[in-house]
Amino acid sequence: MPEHPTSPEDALRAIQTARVAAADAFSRHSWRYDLVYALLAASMVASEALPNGISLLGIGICVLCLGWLARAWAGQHGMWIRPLTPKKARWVAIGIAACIALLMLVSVAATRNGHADFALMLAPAGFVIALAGSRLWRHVHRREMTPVP
Amino acid sequence: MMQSPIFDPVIHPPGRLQICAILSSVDTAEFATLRDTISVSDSVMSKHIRLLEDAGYVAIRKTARDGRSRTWLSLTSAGRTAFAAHVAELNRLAASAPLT
Repeated sequence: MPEHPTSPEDALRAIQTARVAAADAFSRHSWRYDLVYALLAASMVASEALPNGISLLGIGICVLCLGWLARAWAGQHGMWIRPLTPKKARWVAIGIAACIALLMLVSVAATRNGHADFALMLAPAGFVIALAGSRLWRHVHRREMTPVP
Repeated sequence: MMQSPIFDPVIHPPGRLQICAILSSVDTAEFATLRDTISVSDSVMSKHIRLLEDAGYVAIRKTARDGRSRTWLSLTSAGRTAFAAHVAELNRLAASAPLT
């Protein structure tokens, strides 16, 4: 990074370099976060195949674990970005949430109609959607951060 | 919405420019992480943060983890607006600079 940006171009370059460094730091070991996140999303879908009371408990535990995951990640990396904060990447986060919610609804409907086995089969789809979505979110966020606003 | 270009002398020095650049791209960042990313000492970092806080651009929150205190920083809405205006001014200046 330029020590003393004397020109506007130097200053803009310093901003871009700092933002890329921050985006890189936030993405370090991101596969670990994304895998745990995807497992929790899949568990939420699978929970819907369980009997009513246990299903709610399962979803509650998953939500608590998601909160713990976010706190642990922020503590380890020294920074945090809420999924809905970046203007472009937020649409990826909304898309993931919509897909997981849809899978949970289908899972509830299948379980109520006596097809709990089908509901359980939706969990791997939830895992793949959450994992791919989380990777896509990082990609979109990094591209969003790279150009100077 | 495009911000009106306004040069901000509080933000412009390199260290504070980089701090604001990082904070504008995250919700919150820890003091030590910022210090390491822009490669400055604790005292220089503290001075930058104090100036930004005095200007109302940075909010500070302290937490405890594993028995030690951690300082978390975030841009206030005034800070985000001022930084966006400053970047708009830098872009304007860069675009109007004569090619030599």
